[in-house]
Amino acid sequence: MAKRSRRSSRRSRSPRRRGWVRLRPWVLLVAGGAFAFAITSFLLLDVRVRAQFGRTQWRLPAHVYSQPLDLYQGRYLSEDQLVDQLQALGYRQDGALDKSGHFDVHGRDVDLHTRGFGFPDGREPERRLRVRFAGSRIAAAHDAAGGDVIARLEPQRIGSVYPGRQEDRVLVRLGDVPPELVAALLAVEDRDFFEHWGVEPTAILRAMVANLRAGHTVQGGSTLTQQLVKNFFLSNERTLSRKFTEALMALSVEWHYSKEQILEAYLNEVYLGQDGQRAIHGFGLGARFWFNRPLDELDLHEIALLVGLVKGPSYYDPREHPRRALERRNTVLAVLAHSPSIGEARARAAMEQPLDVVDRDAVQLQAYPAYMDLVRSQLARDYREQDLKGGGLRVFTYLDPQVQGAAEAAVRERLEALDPGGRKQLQAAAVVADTATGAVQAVVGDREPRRAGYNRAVDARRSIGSLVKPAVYLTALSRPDAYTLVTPISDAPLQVKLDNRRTWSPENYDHRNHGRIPLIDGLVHSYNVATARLGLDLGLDQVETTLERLDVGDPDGIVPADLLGALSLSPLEVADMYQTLGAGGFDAPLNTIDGVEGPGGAHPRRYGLDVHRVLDPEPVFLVDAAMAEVARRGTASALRQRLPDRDVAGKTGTTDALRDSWFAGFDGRRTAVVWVGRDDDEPAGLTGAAGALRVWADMMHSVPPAPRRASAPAGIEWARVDPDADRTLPSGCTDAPRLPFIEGSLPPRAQHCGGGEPLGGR
Amino acid sequence: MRRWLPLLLALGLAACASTPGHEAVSKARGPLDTNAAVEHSVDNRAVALLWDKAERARRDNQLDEAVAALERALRLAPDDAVIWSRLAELRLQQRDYAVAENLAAKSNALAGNQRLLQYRNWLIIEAARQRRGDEAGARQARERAEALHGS
Repeated sequence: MAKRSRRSSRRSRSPRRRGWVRLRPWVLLVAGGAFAFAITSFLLLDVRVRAQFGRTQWRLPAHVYSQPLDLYQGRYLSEDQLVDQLQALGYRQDGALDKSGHFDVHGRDVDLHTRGFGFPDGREPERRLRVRFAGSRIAAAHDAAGGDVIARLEPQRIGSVYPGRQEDRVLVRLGDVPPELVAALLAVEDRDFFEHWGVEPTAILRAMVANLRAGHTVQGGSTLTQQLVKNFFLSNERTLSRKFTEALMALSVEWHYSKEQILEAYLNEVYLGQDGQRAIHGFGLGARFWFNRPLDELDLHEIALLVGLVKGPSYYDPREHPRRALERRNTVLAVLAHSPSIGEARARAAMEQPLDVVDRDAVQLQAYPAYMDLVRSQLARDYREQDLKGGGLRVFTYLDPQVQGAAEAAVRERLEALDPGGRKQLQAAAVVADTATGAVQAVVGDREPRRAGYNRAVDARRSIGSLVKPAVYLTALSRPDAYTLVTPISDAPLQVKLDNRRTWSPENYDHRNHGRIPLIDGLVHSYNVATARLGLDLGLDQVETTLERLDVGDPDGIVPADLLGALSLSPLEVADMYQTLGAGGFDAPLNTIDGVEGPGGAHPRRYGLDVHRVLDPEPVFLVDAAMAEVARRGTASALRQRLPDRDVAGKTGTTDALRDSWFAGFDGRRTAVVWVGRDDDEPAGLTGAAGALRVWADMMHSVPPAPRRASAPAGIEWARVDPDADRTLPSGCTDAPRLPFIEGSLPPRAQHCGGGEPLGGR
Repeated sequence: MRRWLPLLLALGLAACASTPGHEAVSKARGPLDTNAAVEHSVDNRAVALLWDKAERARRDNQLDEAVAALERALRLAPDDAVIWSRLAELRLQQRDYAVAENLAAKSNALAGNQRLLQYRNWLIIEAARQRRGDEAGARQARERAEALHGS
């Protein structure tokens, strides 16, 4: 030992000393670098923390309103519907008509005294009205002077949003929460909250000891600040490095914000439950979710339960594990018994109470969750956050409660009929919009429309199948020199060699080929082969151009399979496409928001109506006529029975192996799209006609009728035709069908009504 | 003198027109004088009331209110070419040139054989293009308008 040290010291003294001198600048450099790195990391973390925290801060919600109910002569509305709406608005049926907010019913007359309302486009005065009904419409709407009016009731408040937040919240202010809540929270989760710096080493130690003693986790060592910071992350890693980062972030939060601010943020962020795919955050929302009451109305035993849930909302879920929940709640109450502000007596009394948690079905967190979801994202997309921050904003939407009600009932009831109890796992979505203006009137995202979570109307992208076919036919009809609705096209078997040396050989649904057919029949009967042939003849790039104009193009171009709808779209995107087809080639962006206004009517901002001509109206008119035939004698002919007096047009869509069932169509005023299928993309076993079409028909049946317009655009000529012979007929041939043609493209005229020679082949 | 010719022709055409919803242009100083009142007869009472409201608002220079009333009317009568055209004129007055042109084009697509209306729409489009600096486009619009005079 001594020898070695002597030898080593003798040998290495000089070199070691020299070595150390050589090392010193490097050491400083490395140390300096490490220090700089640490500071930078901390600063970046700090920036992130402040950004996240900023989002949690309390602010006034924006109130969101539906489209107001218009009352005018001729409007399709029943007395019951009016009375329902008045009751929903809190009007009293007591005949005290000298005050606003009251109404009375005599026979088929409704007398009311409206409340005024300040709309962004002007003030609707408070006034007395008499509304008389006849049949299913308003026969007369008069004011006190007996004059005709068009009156608007106040719009219905359908929800609140916090601009900048996508999820649902009920924010609370620290000063407004029950004091027992704060007392309980601190006592159970973080006794020294007001004293510590964000992390508490002693608490961690204390927890370790308590947990070791108990043999399992009874105490957490995290402060409220640390728990808050944990919520800023999306994933729930429990690694050492993550814990370290969280500790640093907690310090950062304490550095910038006061204890009160931190506590308030915590109250609004803490995770308190799971509702399907949607997480319940914050005590305000938690109170509604578990007790269906506002937080400030809760009693001690209910508050104690909420505080108890903080530790593990799934583990202590009172609906799934009521005994565990009760035990946990009483543990909290036991701690509170020692708290001076609550005391033994109150705590003991509370422990005797039942849980008092309400059934999930009794809770309606938000009416119209799918519609509100779209409102939120459009608000975020179209308004800068600072415009919305003022608080007390009012957001006016196009939601039509009548149409939304019809859509929800149709989806819910038809899905239950198609799939009782959900054993087949079918799901559905629906979108309804005003064709001419793009105003979105209804959105349904789930077969149980009031369930919030996955909004299939907006977020489910599914193969559209035959819904793409109108785009192919439109491409052809845009070339009137080559194609009309009766131009013969081939439905003969087709084999296409693809790039990857495979052969594509599409088949019709009936597995037959139909020889030469008039072009219109390819769409009416949704023949895959004829459509594929037509698309290939036109050229994929031409069809792609049409798809781009309809805003559903693929920047990578299309392949033959896309002619039959291999591309995937959401129901909302399909509605956008069919809106353009229904509006004569004029694209109106689908929009939920009519206008936004600050408190007291400050800074009103309206979305003005704008349309873009993306397609020539004449070929679109021809495709619309073909789609009317789809509803009359084609794949959607069931509509003739279900909607006998309606003038509708549309297209069924079925994807391979019956995975998706679609129907997209329009009447004179609305465009509506329905999708039915399974979330896991397994076959639903329904064609478009068997599934989505039924829902669509039910929905449109409950919505006021609107005939499609009588007149064609200039440049269109109608003629009697023999479609199988590609001939027009003398106008006296009243048995023959009438079809529209672009001027100058009419086929030759046959001499008599018997027509020309048939096209040949079957 | 040349300015009056189109008006005379237009009034002449109006006399010959037998299409529904034809309009009377009263006391106009030119075909596109938006200060002149435009009468528009419709079947739907609500639309008629909203049209009147829009005309009153326009006279009081409350253009936003007029626009909102016409947009409401359009939700009730989406195929009424005259309403689209009037809305286009209002937007032109508000200097929303791109929108004015789009709305006038939509009116044309719905106008069927209402030549006077189409003529007005092309003049709106001409004015919109001119004020956006699109001289060539404005000339084309003028040609389309003139073409509706002949025959």
